[in-house]
Amino acid sequence: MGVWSDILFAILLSAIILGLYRLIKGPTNADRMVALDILTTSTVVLIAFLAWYFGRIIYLDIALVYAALSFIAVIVLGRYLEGGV
Amino acid sequence: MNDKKEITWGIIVTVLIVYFAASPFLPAPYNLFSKDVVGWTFMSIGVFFVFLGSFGLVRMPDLYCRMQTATKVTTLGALSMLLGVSVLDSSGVFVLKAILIGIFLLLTAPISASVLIRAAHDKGVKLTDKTKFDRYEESKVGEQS
Repeated sequence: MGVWSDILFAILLSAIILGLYRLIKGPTNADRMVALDILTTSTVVLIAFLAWYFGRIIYLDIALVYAALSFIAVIVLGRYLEGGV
Repeated sequence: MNDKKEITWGIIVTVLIVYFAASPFLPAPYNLFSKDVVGWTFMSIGVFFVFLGSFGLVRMPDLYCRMQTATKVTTLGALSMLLGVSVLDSSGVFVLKAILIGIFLLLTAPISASVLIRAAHDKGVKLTDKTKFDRYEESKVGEQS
């Protein structure tokens, strides 16, 4: 609690901003997909942090569903990139 | 000169070892094994590694190096973060759900990374100039001939 949790929150947000930079700029589509993968994992971490910060266990369900959906999204995009849809 | 340095380091290491051994019997803020210290340490390590993963995503020269940071460093950071959060908030349901998320991430991150990287390599994304060898390309050539 206090200042240190704010600092951790700011570092997490800056990590997400760095991922967004690669998501926008990435030279190829595969780079954008890697950035999407890393962004979803960072967001799961962020949701877990918020669940602890606000004391709400129900947020962790959202994190679990988000992780599952991001996994399926990355698999589907990989198959699409491979050309074997 | 050298003796003086060795004596200083010896004193520092001795103090640290004595503090580490005595810390379970100390009151709360100085107790290294209390719930707060362990939880905050794991959370800080996790946030640090998640940041390092995103930083490597920006700095690395190549798609494949970027994928390495994405799949290894960020998974380690996420697991450490979930561990720290569940140590700090030690209600049973919270720990159970955090363990569930951790197992899910640990199982799915390598699979998605493998699918992505194989698709990109088959599609012909360029490797960086510093690459020494490419075993996947060699194995594909071997299969065809």
